[in-house]
Amino acid sequence: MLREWLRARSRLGNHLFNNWVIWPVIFAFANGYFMPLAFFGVQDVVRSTELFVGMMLLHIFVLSYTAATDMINERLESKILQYHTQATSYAAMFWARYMFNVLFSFASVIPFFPVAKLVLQEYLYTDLVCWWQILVVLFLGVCLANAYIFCWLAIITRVIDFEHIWERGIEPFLWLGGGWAPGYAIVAGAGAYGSWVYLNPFVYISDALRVSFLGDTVRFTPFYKALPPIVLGTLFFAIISYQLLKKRMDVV
Amino acid sequence: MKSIRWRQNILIGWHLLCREWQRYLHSWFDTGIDAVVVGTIFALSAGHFMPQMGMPREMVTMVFIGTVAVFCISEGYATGLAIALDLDGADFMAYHVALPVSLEMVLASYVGGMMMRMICTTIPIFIYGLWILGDWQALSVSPLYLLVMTLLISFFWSVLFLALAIGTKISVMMGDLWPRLIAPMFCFGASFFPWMRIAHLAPRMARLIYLNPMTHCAEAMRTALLGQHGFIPIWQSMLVLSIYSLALSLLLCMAARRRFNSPREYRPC
Repeated sequence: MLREWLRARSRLGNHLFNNWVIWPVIFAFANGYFMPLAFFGVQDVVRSTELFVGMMLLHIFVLSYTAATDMINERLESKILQYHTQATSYAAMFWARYMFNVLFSFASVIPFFPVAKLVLQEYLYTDLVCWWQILVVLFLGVCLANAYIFCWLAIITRVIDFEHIWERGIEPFLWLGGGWAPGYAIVAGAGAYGSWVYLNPFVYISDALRVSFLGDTVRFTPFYKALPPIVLGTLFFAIISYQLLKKRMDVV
Repeated sequence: MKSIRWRQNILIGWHLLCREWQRYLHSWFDTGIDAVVVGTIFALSAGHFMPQMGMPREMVTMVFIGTVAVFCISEGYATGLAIALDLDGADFMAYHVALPVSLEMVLASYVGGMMMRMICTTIPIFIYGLWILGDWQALSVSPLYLLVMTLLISFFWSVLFLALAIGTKISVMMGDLWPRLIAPMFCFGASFFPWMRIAHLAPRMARLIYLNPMTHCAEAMRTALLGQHGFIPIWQSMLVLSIYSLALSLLLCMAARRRFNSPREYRPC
Protein backbone atom coordinates (compact mmCIF):
# COMPACT_ATOMS: atom_id res chain seq x y z
CA MET A 1 0.00 0.00 0.00
CA LEU A 2 2.92 2.30 0.70
CA ARG A 3 4.07 1.83 -2.85
CA GLU A 4 0.61 2.83 -4.11
CA TRP A 5 0.69 5.91 -1.89
CA LEU A 6 4.12 6.95 -3.18
CA ARG A 7 2.87 6.54 -6.74
CA ALA A 8 -0.30 8.56 -6.06
CA ARG A 9 1.57 11.24 -4.14
CA SER A 10 3.31 12.47 -7.27
CA ARG A 11 -0.04 13.63 -8.69
CA LEU A 12 -1.71 14.41 -5.38
CA GLY A 13 -2.04 18.17 -5.84
CA ASN A 14 -3.80 17.89 -9.21
CA HIS A 15 -5.93 14.99 -7.99
CA LEU A 16 -7.14 16.85 -4.91
CA PHE A 17 -7.87 20.02 -6.85
CA ASN A 18 -9.83 18.07 -9.46
CA ASN A 19 -11.84 16.00 -6.98
CA TRP A 20 -12.26 18.37 -4.05
CA VAL A 21 -12.93 21.54 -6.03
CA ILE A 22 -13.64 21.14 -9.73
CA TRP A 23 -15.97 18.12 -9.89
CA PRO A 24 -18.24 19.23 -7.00
CA VAL A 25 -18.48 22.77 -8.39
CA ILE A 26 -19.33 21.81 -11.96
CA PHE A 27 -21.79 19.08 -10.93
CA ALA A 28 -23.38 21.46 -8.43
CA PHE A 29 -23.97 24.08 -11.10
CA ALA A 30 -24.99 21.69 -13.87
CA ASN A 31 -27.09 19.12 -12.03
CA GLY A 32 -28.00 21.09 -8.94
CA TYR A 33 -28.94 24.38 -10.57
CA PHE A 34 -29.21 24.53 -14.36
CA MET A 35 -30.83 21.18 -15.09
CA PRO A 36 -33.49 21.42 -12.35
CA LEU A 37 -34.19 25.00 -13.40
CA ALA A 38 -34.66 23.93 -17.02
CA PHE A 39 -36.60 20.74 -16.24
CA PHE A 40 -38.85 21.85 -13.43
CA GLY A 41 -39.23 25.58 -14.11
CA VAL A 42 -39.18 27.59 -10.93
CA GLN A 43 -36.53 26.31 -8.54
CA ASP A 44 -37.85 23.24 -6.71
CA VAL A 45 -35.24 22.66 -4.04
CA VAL A 46 -36.28 19.12 -3.14
CA ARG A 47 -36.33 17.88 -6.73
CA SER A 48 -33.08 19.72 -7.47
CA THR A 49 -31.46 17.88 -4.58
CA GLU A 50 -32.98 14.60 -5.73
CA LEU A 51 -31.47 15.09 -9.20
CA PHE A 52 -28.09 16.33 -7.99
CA VAL A 53 -27.40 13.70 -5.34
CA GLY A 54 -27.36 10.90 -7.94
CA MET A 55 -24.30 12.50 -9.54
CA MET A 56 -22.20 11.14 -6.69
CA LEU A 57 -22.52 7.75 -8.37
CA LEU A 58 -20.84 9.16 -11.47
CA HIS A 59 -18.09 10.68 -9.36
CA ILE A 60 -17.45 7.36 -7.60
CA PHE A 61 -17.25 5.53 -10.92
CA VAL A 62 -14.88 8.15 -12.39
CA LEU A 63 -12.51 7.72 -9.45
CA SER A 64 -12.60 3.92 -9.57
CA TYR A 65 -12.12 3.88 -13.34
CA THR A 66 -9.17 6.28 -13.18
CA ALA A 67 -7.49 4.20 -10.47
CA ALA A 68 -8.02 1.08 -12.55
CA THR A 69 -6.29 2.63 -15.57
CA ASP A 70 -2.94 2.43 -13.81
CA MET A 71 -3.56 -1.15 -12.74
CA ILE A 72 -4.45 -2.37 -16.20
CA ASN A 73 -1.19 -0.98 -17.57
CA GLU A 74 0.70 -2.65 -14.74
CA ARG A 75 -0.97 -5.98 -15.42
CA LEU A 76 -0.82 -6.09 -19.23
CA GLU A 77 2.09 -3.84 -20.21
CA SER A 78 4.76 -3.43 -17.56
CA LYS A 79 3.83 -6.68 -15.71
CA ILE A 80 4.38 -5.04 -12.34
CA LEU A 81 1.42 -6.93 -10.90
CA GLN A 82 3.10 -10.21 -11.77
CA TYR A 83 6.35 -9.02 -10.20
CA HIS A 84 4.58 -8.02 -6.98
CA THR A 85 2.82 -11.38 -6.88
CA GLN A 86 6.20 -13.10 -7.10
CA ALA A 87 7.80 -10.78 -4.54
CA THR A 88 5.02 -11.03 -1.94
CA SER A 89 1.90 -13.09 -2.60
CA TYR A 90 -1.12 -12.81 -4.84
CA ALA A 91 -3.44 -12.12 -1.90
CA ALA A 92 -1.17 -9.37 -0.57
CA MET A 93 -0.90 -7.76 -4.01
CA PHE A 94 -4.65 -7.89 -4.63
CA TRP A 95 -5.92 -6.71 -1.26
CA ALA A 96 -3.27 -4.02 -0.90
CA ARG A 97 -4.31 -2.47 -4.18
CA TYR A 98 -8.01 -2.90 -3.49
CA MET A 99 -7.81 -1.35 -0.03
CA PHE A 100 -5.66 1.52 -1.22
CA ASN A 101 -8.05 2.30 -4.08
CA VAL A 102 -11.00 2.18 -1.69
CA LEU A 103 -9.39 4.44 0.92
CA PHE A 104 -8.01 6.87 -1.67
CA SER A 105 -11.35 7.09 -3.49
CA PHE A 106 -13.18 7.56 -0.18
CA ALA A 107 -10.87 10.41 0.81
CA SER A 108 -11.48 11.94 -2.62
CA VAL A 109 -15.29 11.90 -2.35
CA ILE A 110 -15.75 13.09 1.24
CA PRO A 111 -15.70 16.85 0.45
CA PHE A 112 -18.08 16.50 -2.52
CA PHE A 113 -21.34 17.36 -0.76
CA PRO A 114 -19.92 20.00 1.63
CA VAL A 115 -18.35 21.84 -1.34
CA ALA A 116 -21.59 21.52 -3.29
CA LYS A 117 -23.46 22.99 -0.33
CA LEU A 118 -21.10 25.98 -0.34
CA VAL A 119 -21.85 26.50 -4.04
CA LEU A 120 -25.58 25.82 -4.05
CA GLN A 121 -26.42 27.26 -0.61
CA GLU A 122 -30.19 27.01 -0.13
CA TYR A 123 -30.61 25.20 -3.48
CA LEU A 124 -29.27 22.03 -1.87
CA TYR A 125 -31.84 20.78 0.59
CA THR A 126 -30.10 19.84 3.85
CA ASP A 127 -32.86 20.38 6.43
CA LEU A 128 -33.20 16.63 6.98
CA VAL A 129 -29.70 15.50 6.03
CA CYS A 130 -27.96 12.81 8.04
CA TRP A 131 -24.24 13.23 7.43
CA TRP A 132 -23.06 10.04 9.13
CA GLN A 133 -25.37 7.99 6.90
CA ILE A 134 -23.89 9.73 3.87
CA LEU A 135 -20.37 8.84 5.00
CA VAL A 136 -21.34 5.19 5.46
CA VAL A 137 -22.97 5.05 2.02
CA LEU A 138 -19.99 6.74 0.38
CA PHE A 139 -17.58 4.25 1.93
CA LEU A 140 -19.67 1.26 0.89
CA GLY A 141 -20.21 2.82 -2.50
CA VAL A 142 -16.50 3.12 -3.27
CA CYS A 143 -16.01 -0.46 -1.99
CA LEU A 144 -18.67 -1.69 -4.42
CA ALA A 145 -17.49 0.38 -7.38
CA ASN A 146 -13.86 -0.68 -6.96
CA ALA A 147 -14.80 -4.35 -6.56
CA TYR A 148 -16.86 -4.10 -9.74
CA ILE A 149 -14.07 -2.41 -11.71
CA PHE A 150 -11.61 -5.06 -10.49
CA CYS A 151 -13.82 -7.66 -12.16
CA TRP A 152 -13.34 -5.90 -15.47
CA LEU A 153 -9.61 -5.66 -14.84
CA ALA A 154 -9.57 -9.41 -14.57
CA ILE A 155 -11.73 -9.96 -17.65
CA ILE A 156 -10.03 -7.85 -20.29
CA THR A 157 -6.98 -9.17 -22.04
CA ARG A 158 -5.88 -6.15 -24.10
CA VAL A 159 -5.24 -2.59 -22.98
CA ILE A 160 -7.21 -1.30 -25.95
CA ASP A 161 -10.35 -3.04 -24.64
CA PHE A 162 -10.24 -0.97 -21.48
CA GLU A 163 -11.64 2.09 -23.25
CA HIS A 164 -14.86 0.15 -23.96
CA ILE A 165 -15.44 -0.66 -20.30
CA TRP A 166 -16.86 2.80 -19.61
CA GLU A 167 -19.60 2.57 -22.27
CA ARG A 168 -20.45 -1.11 -21.88
CA GLY A 169 -19.69 -1.92 -18.28
CA ILE A 170 -20.19 1.30 -16.34
CA GLU A 171 -22.75 3.51 -18.09
CA PRO A 172 -25.58 0.94 -17.94
CA PHE A 173 -25.03 0.44 -14.19
CA LEU A 174 -24.63 4.18 -13.69
CA TRP A 175 -27.65 5.57 -15.54
CA LEU A 176 -29.86 2.58 -14.69
CA GLY A 177 -28.62 2.83 -11.12
CA GLY A 178 -30.09 6.20 -10.24
CA GLY A 179 -27.28 8.41 -11.50
CA TRP A 180 -29.87 10.62 -13.11
CA ALA A 181 -33.42 9.37 -12.67
CA PRO A 182 -33.89 7.67 -9.28
CA GLY A 183 -35.01 4.06 -8.90
CA TYR A 184 -38.70 4.85 -8.50
CA ALA A 185 -38.70 6.87 -11.76
CA ILE A 186 -37.04 3.97 -13.61
CA VAL A 187 -39.59 1.55 -12.21
CA ALA A 188 -42.44 3.83 -13.24
CA GLY A 189 -41.00 4.47 -16.69
CA ALA A 190 -39.89 0.94 -17.57
CA GLY A 191 -43.26 -0.73 -17.22
CA ALA A 192 -43.21 -4.48 -16.66
CA TYR A 193 -39.40 -4.61 -16.47
CA GLY A 194 -39.12 -1.74 -14.02
CA SER A 195 -38.60 -3.80 -10.90
CA TRP A 196 -35.50 -5.38 -12.46
CA VAL A 197 -33.67 -2.14 -11.69
CA TYR A 198 -33.42 -3.34 -8.08
CA LEU A 199 -31.15 -6.17 -9.23
CA ASN A 200 -28.56 -3.45 -9.83
CA PRO A 201 -26.69 -2.96 -6.52
CA PHE A 202 -25.72 0.59 -7.52
CA VAL A 203 -29.32 1.78 -7.36
CA TYR A 204 -29.19 1.19 -3.60
CA ILE A 205 -26.25 3.59 -3.31
CA SER A 206 -28.13 6.39 -5.05
CA ASP A 207 -31.32 5.60 -3.11
CA ALA A 208 -29.47 5.54 0.21
CA LEU A 209 -27.86 8.91 -0.56
CA ARG A 210 -31.19 10.42 -1.55
CA VAL A 211 -32.94 9.11 1.55
CA SER A 212 -30.06 10.44 3.69
CA PHE A 213 -30.67 13.91 2.23
CA LEU A 214 -34.44 13.96 1.89
CA GLY A 215 -35.64 11.46 4.48
CA ASP A 216 -38.28 10.14 2.07
CA THR A 217 -38.55 6.40 2.66
CA VAL A 218 -41.62 6.03 0.42
CA ARG A 219 -40.01 6.81 -2.93
CA PHE A 220 -36.48 5.70 -1.99
CA THR A 221 -35.20 2.52 -0.40
CA PRO A 222 -34.80 3.07 3.37
CA PHE A 223 -31.21 3.39 4.56
CA TYR A 224 -31.03 0.13 6.54
CA LYS A 225 -32.66 -1.81 3.72
CA ALA A 226 -30.24 -0.39 1.15
CA LEU A 227 -27.09 -1.47 3.00
CA PRO A 228 -27.33 -5.29 2.68
CA PRO A 229 -27.55 -5.33 -1.16
CA ILE A 230 -24.55 -2.97 -1.35
CA VAL A 231 -22.51 -5.16 1.01
CA LEU A 232 -23.57 -8.37 -0.76
CA GLY A 233 -22.76 -6.82 -4.13
CA THR A 234 -19.33 -5.79 -2.89
CA LEU A 235 -18.58 -9.28 -1.57
CA PHE A 236 -19.82 -10.85 -4.79
CA PHE A 237 -17.71 -8.68 -7.10
CA ALA A 238 -14.66 -8.82 -4.81
CA ILE A 239 -14.67 -12.63 -4.68
CA ILE A 240 -15.30 -12.94 -8.40
CA SER A 241 -12.54 -10.49 -9.26
CA TYR A 242 -10.10 -12.19 -6.85
CA GLN A 243 -10.67 -15.60 -8.40
CA LEU A 244 -10.79 -14.36 -11.99
CA LEU A 245 -7.60 -12.32 -11.72
CA LYS A 246 -5.85 -15.23 -10.04
CA LYS A 247 -6.81 -17.47 -12.92
CA ARG A 248 -5.82 -14.86 -15.53
CA MET A 249 -2.42 -14.34 -13.96
CA ASP A 250 -1.98 -18.09 -13.70
CA VAL A 251 -1.09 -17.92 -10.05
CA VAL A 252 -0.66 -21.22 -8.25
CA MET B 1 6.89 22.69 -60.10
CA LYS B 2 4.32 24.25 -57.81
CA SER B 3 1.50 22.29 -59.43
CA ILE B 4 3.45 19.00 -59.07
CA ARG B 5 4.01 19.73 -55.39
CA TRP B 6 0.35 20.63 -55.01
CA ARG B 7 -0.76 17.40 -56.71
CA GLN B 8 1.64 15.42 -54.53
CA ASN B 9 0.18 17.03 -51.43
CA ILE B 10 -3.34 16.09 -52.47
CA LEU B 11 -2.35 12.54 -53.39
CA ILE B 12 -0.50 11.79 -50.16
CA GLY B 13 -3.17 13.55 -48.13
CA TRP B 14 -5.80 11.37 -49.79
CA HIS B 15 -3.86 8.21 -48.97
CA LEU B 16 -3.47 9.31 -45.35
CA LEU B 17 -7.21 9.89 -45.19
CA CYS B 18 -7.83 6.43 -46.66
CA ARG B 19 -5.57 5.03 -43.98
CA GLU B 20 -7.69 6.76 -41.30
CA TRP B 21 -10.80 5.23 -42.86
CA GLN B 22 -9.20 1.78 -42.80
CA ARG B 23 -8.31 2.24 -39.14
CA TYR B 24 -11.91 3.16 -38.40
CA LEU B 25 -13.18 0.11 -40.30
CA HIS B 26 -11.03 -2.14 -38.08
CA SER B 27 -12.74 -0.80 -35.00
CA TRP B 28 -16.24 0.06 -36.27
CA PHE B 29 -17.82 -3.04 -34.70
CA ASP B 30 -16.55 -2.25 -31.21
CA THR B 31 -17.44 1.42 -31.60
CA GLY B 32 -20.86 0.41 -32.87
CA ILE B 33 -21.56 -1.71 -29.80
CA ASP B 34 -20.57 1.20 -27.55
CA ALA B 35 -22.85 3.49 -29.52
CA VAL B 36 -25.81 1.10 -29.27
CA VAL B 37 -25.38 0.70 -25.50
CA VAL B 38 -25.00 4.41 -24.88
CA GLY B 39 -27.81 5.33 -27.26
CA THR B 40 -30.17 2.89 -25.56
CA ILE B 41 -29.35 4.13 -22.08
CA PHE B 42 -29.69 7.81 -22.98
CA ALA B 43 -32.90 7.29 -24.96
CA LEU B 44 -34.49 5.36 -22.10
CA SER B 45 -33.31 7.91 -19.52
CA ALA B 46 -34.45 10.96 -21.45
CA GLY B 47 -37.57 9.43 -22.93
CA HIS B 48 -39.01 7.23 -20.23
CA PHE B 49 -37.39 7.84 -16.84
CA MET B 50 -36.80 11.59 -16.58
CA PRO B 51 -40.46 12.45 -17.41
CA GLN B 52 -41.42 10.40 -14.34
CA MET B 53 -39.46 12.92 -12.26
CA GLY B 54 -41.39 15.81 -13.75
CA MET B 55 -39.38 16.73 -16.83
CA PRO B 56 -41.81 18.06 -19.48
CA ARG B 57 -42.49 15.61 -22.32
CA GLU B 58 -41.74 18.24 -24.96
CA MET B 59 -38.13 18.35 -23.74
CA VAL B 60 -37.48 14.64 -24.29
CA THR B 61 -36.04 14.83 -27.81
CA MET B 62 -34.11 18.04 -27.05
CA VAL B 63 -32.42 16.41 -24.06
CA PHE B 64 -31.66 13.25 -26.02
CA ILE B 65 -30.01 15.23 -28.82
CA GLY B 66 -27.82 16.96 -26.24
CA THR B 67 -26.76 13.66 -24.66
CA VAL B 68 -25.73 12.32 -28.07
CA ALA B 69 -23.64 15.46 -28.58
CA VAL B 70 -21.88 14.60 -25.30
CA PHE B 71 -21.17 11.07 -26.56
CA CYS B 72 -19.66 12.67 -29.66
CA ILE B 73 -17.20 14.46 -27.37
CA SER B 74 -16.27 11.16 -25.71
CA GLU B 75 -15.44 9.68 -29.09
CA GLY B 76 -13.37 12.73 -30.02
CA TYR B 77 -11.51 12.51 -26.73
CA ALA B 78 -10.82 8.78 -27.18
CA THR B 79 -9.38 9.41 -30.63
CA GLY B 80 -7.35 12.38 -29.39
CA LEU B 81 -6.01 10.29 -26.54
CA ALA B 82 -4.98 7.54 -28.95
CA ILE B 83 -3.03 10.12 -30.97
CA ALA B 84 -1.46 11.52 -27.79
CA LEU B 85 -0.40 8.00 -26.74
CA ASP B 86 1.08 7.45 -30.18
CA LEU B 87 3.03 10.70 -29.95
CA ASP B 88 4.28 9.64 -26.53
CA GLY B 89 5.31 6.20 -27.74
CA ALA B 90 5.86 5.01 -31.29
CA ASP B 91 5.41 8.54 -32.68
CA PHE B 92 3.99 7.30 -35.97
CA MET B 93 2.61 10.76 -36.66
CA ALA B 94 6.18 12.07 -36.89
CA TYR B 95 6.74 9.60 -39.74
CA HIS B 96 3.72 11.04 -41.55
CA VAL B 97 5.04 14.55 -41.03
CA ALA B 98 8.39 13.46 -42.52
CA LEU B 99 6.69 12.38 -45.77
CA PRO B 100 7.02 14.71 -48.78
CA VAL B 101 3.79 16.49 -47.89
CA SER B 102 2.97 19.72 -46.11
CA LEU B 103 2.33 19.66 -42.36
CA GLU B 104 -1.09 21.20 -42.96
CA MET B 105 -2.07 18.31 -45.23
CA VAL B 106 -1.05 15.76 -42.59
CA LEU B 107 -3.10 17.62 -39.98
CA ALA B 108 -6.01 17.87 -42.41
CA SER B 109 -5.96 14.11 -42.96
CA TYR B 110 -5.96 13.45 -39.21
CA VAL B 111 -8.79 15.92 -38.71
CA GLY B 112 -10.67 14.35 -41.60
CA GLY B 113 -10.25 10.91 -40.05
CA MET B 114 -11.55 12.10 -36.69
CA MET B 115 -14.51 13.77 -38.39
CA MET B 116 -15.36 10.56 -40.26
CA ARG B 117 -15.22 8.56 -37.06
CA MET B 118 -17.43 11.03 -35.18
CA ILE B 119 -20.02 11.29 -37.94
CA CYS B 120 -20.17 7.55 -38.61
CA THR B 121 -20.61 6.87 -34.90
CA THR B 122 -23.07 9.63 -34.07
CA ILE B 123 -25.58 9.45 -36.90
CA PRO B 124 -26.63 5.84 -36.19
CA ILE B 125 -27.07 6.72 -32.51
CA PHE B 126 -29.38 9.57 -33.45
CA ILE B 127 -31.50 7.36 -35.66
CA TYR B 128 -31.52 4.45 -33.24
CA GLY B 129 -32.28 6.66 -30.23
CA LEU B 130 -35.08 8.49 -32.02
CA TRP B 131 -36.55 5.10 -32.90
CA ILE B 132 -36.53 4.11 -29.19
CA LEU B 133 -38.07 7.45 -28.22
CA GLY B 134 -40.70 7.04 -30.91
CA ASP B 135 -41.08 10.82 -31.01
CA TRP B 136 -41.05 11.12 -34.81
CA GLN B 137 -43.73 13.82 -34.92
CA ALA B 138 -41.39 16.19 -33.05
CA LEU B 139 -38.91 16.05 -35.94
CA SER B 140 -38.70 18.86 -38.45
CA VAL B 141 -35.48 18.04 -40.23
CA SER B 142 -33.69 20.59 -42.37
CA PRO B 143 -31.26 18.54 -44.49
CA LEU B 144 -29.10 21.54 -45.42
CA TYR B 145 -28.69 22.72 -41.82
CA LEU B 146 -28.12 19.14 -40.71
CA LEU B 147 -25.35 18.59 -43.23
CA VAL B 148 -23.61 21.91 -42.62
CA MET B 149 -23.79 21.73 -38.83
CA THR B 150 -22.75 18.08 -38.70
CA LEU B 151 -19.62 18.93 -40.65
CA LEU B 152 -18.93 22.12 -38.69
CA ILE B 153 -19.48 20.52 -35.27
CA SER B 154 -17.37 17.46 -36.07
CA PHE B 155 -14.65 19.74 -37.50
CA PHE B 156 -14.63 21.85 -34.33
CA TRP B 157 -14.26 18.87 -31.96
CA SER B 158 -11.70 17.16 -34.19
CA VAL B 159 -9.49 20.25 -34.35
CA LEU B 160 -9.85 20.82 -30.62
CA PHE B 161 -8.83 17.29 -29.60
CA LEU B 162 -6.05 17.08 -32.17
CA ALA B 163 -4.64 20.39 -30.94
CA LEU B 164 -4.79 19.14 -27.36
CA ALA B 165 -3.18 15.81 -28.28
CA ILE B 166 -0.28 17.55 -30.02
CA GLY B 167 0.10 20.56 -27.77
CA THR B 168 -0.22 19.12 -24.26
CA LYS B 169 1.54 16.51 -22.18
CA ILE B 170 0.12 12.99 -22.04
CA SER B 171 -0.41 13.32 -18.28
CA VAL B 172 -2.64 16.35 -18.88
CA MET B 173 -4.61 14.50 -21.57
CA MET B 174 -5.20 11.55 -19.29
CA GLY B 175 -5.65 13.25 -15.94
CA ASP B 176 -6.65 16.89 -16.05
CA LEU B 177 -8.39 17.41 -19.36
CA TRP B 178 -11.76 15.95 -18.39
CA PRO B 179 -12.31 17.81 -15.13
CA ARG B 180 -10.78 21.12 -16.29
CA LEU B 181 -11.96 21.48 -19.86
CA ILE B 182 -14.32 18.85 -21.22
CA ALA B 183 -16.65 18.37 -18.26
CA PRO B 184 -17.09 22.14 -17.73
CA MET B 185 -17.82 22.47 -21.45
CA PHE B 186 -20.70 20.04 -21.44
CA CYS B 187 -21.90 20.85 -17.91
CA PHE B 188 -21.95 24.60 -18.59
CA GLY B 189 -23.08 24.16 -22.17
CA ALA B 190 -26.75 23.74 -22.96
CA SER B 191 -26.27 20.04 -23.70
CA PHE B 192 -28.88 18.69 -21.27
CA PHE B 193 -31.34 21.55 -21.55
CA PRO B 194 -32.31 24.12 -24.22
CA TRP B 195 -30.57 27.46 -23.78
CA MET B 196 -33.78 29.49 -24.12
CA ARG B 197 -35.21 28.03 -20.91
CA ILE B 198 -32.22 29.23 -18.92
CA ALA B 199 -32.23 32.57 -20.80
CA HIS B 200 -35.72 33.29 -19.50
CA LEU B 201 -35.14 32.09 -15.94
CA ALA B 202 -31.50 33.10 -15.31
CA PRO B 203 -30.46 35.66 -17.97
CA ARG B 204 -27.03 36.51 -16.51
CA MET B 205 -25.92 32.88 -16.33
CA ALA B 206 -27.37 32.34 -19.80
CA ARG B 207 -24.98 34.95 -21.23
CA LEU B 208 -22.01 32.96 -19.88
CA ILE B 209 -23.40 29.70 -21.22
CA TYR B 210 -23.86 31.38 -24.61
CA LEU B 211 -20.09 31.77 -24.95
CA ASN B 212 -19.56 28.02 -24.57
CA PRO B 213 -19.14 26.30 -27.98
CA MET B 214 -20.88 23.19 -26.61
CA THR B 215 -24.05 25.28 -26.27
CA HIS B 216 -23.97 26.07 -29.97
CA CYS B 217 -23.21 22.45 -30.92
CA ALA B 218 -26.27 21.19 -29.05
CA GLU B 219 -28.55 24.06 -30.07
CA ALA B 220 -27.56 23.82 -33.74
CA MET B 221 -28.32 20.08 -33.83
CA ARG B 222 -31.66 20.73 -32.16
CA THR B 223 -32.48 23.39 -34.76
CA ALA B 224 -31.43 21.11 -37.61
CA LEU B 225 -33.59 18.25 -36.33
CA LEU B 226 -36.48 19.97 -34.57
CA GLY B 227 -36.83 23.34 -36.31
CA GLN B 228 -35.75 26.82 -35.27
CA HIS B 229 -38.47 27.64 -32.76
CA GLY B 230 -37.20 27.78 -29.19
CA PHE B 231 -33.46 27.55 -29.92
CA ILE B 232 -30.57 29.89 -30.59
CA PRO B 233 -30.74 31.19 -34.22
CA ILE B 234 -28.66 28.84 -36.30
CA TRP B 235 -26.71 31.61 -38.00
CA GLN B 236 -25.38 32.65 -34.57
CA SER B 237 -24.29 29.07 -33.82
CA MET B 238 -22.62 28.81 -37.22
CA LEU B 239 -20.78 32.08 -36.65
CA VAL B 240 -19.62 31.23 -33.13
CA LEU B 241 -18.47 27.72 -34.08
CA SER B 242 -16.73 29.03 -37.19
CA ILE B 243 -14.79 31.57 -35.14
CA TYR B 244 -13.80 28.97 -32.57
CA SER B 245 -12.85 26.49 -35.32
CA LEU B 246 -10.69 29.06 -37.10
CA ALA B 247 -8.90 30.02 -33.89
CA LEU B 248 -8.34 26.37 -32.98
CA SER B 249 -7.05 25.58 -36.47
CA LEU B 250 -4.42 28.30 -36.11
CA LEU B 251 -3.49 26.98 -32.66
CA LEU B 252 -3.27 23.46 -34.06
CA CYS B 253 -0.85 24.54 -36.79
CA MET B 254 1.27 26.45 -34.29
CA ALA B 255 1.35 23.53 -31.86
CA ALA B 256 2.24 21.06 -34.62
CA ARG B 257 5.06 23.27 -35.93
CA ARG B 258 6.48 23.64 -32.44
CA ARG B 259 6.25 19.92 -31.76
CA PHE B 260 7.58 18.51 -34.99
CA ASN B 261 10.26 21.13 -35.56
CA SER B 262 11.83 20.67 -32.14
CA PRO B 263 14.00 17.72 -31.05
CA ARG B 264 12.16 14.96 -29.22
CA GLU B 265 13.67 15.78 -25.83
CA TYR B 266 12.17 19.29 -25.93
CA ARG B 267 8.64 18.13 -26.69
CA PRO B 268 5.87 18.62 -24.12
CA CYS B 269 5.91 14.90 -23.24
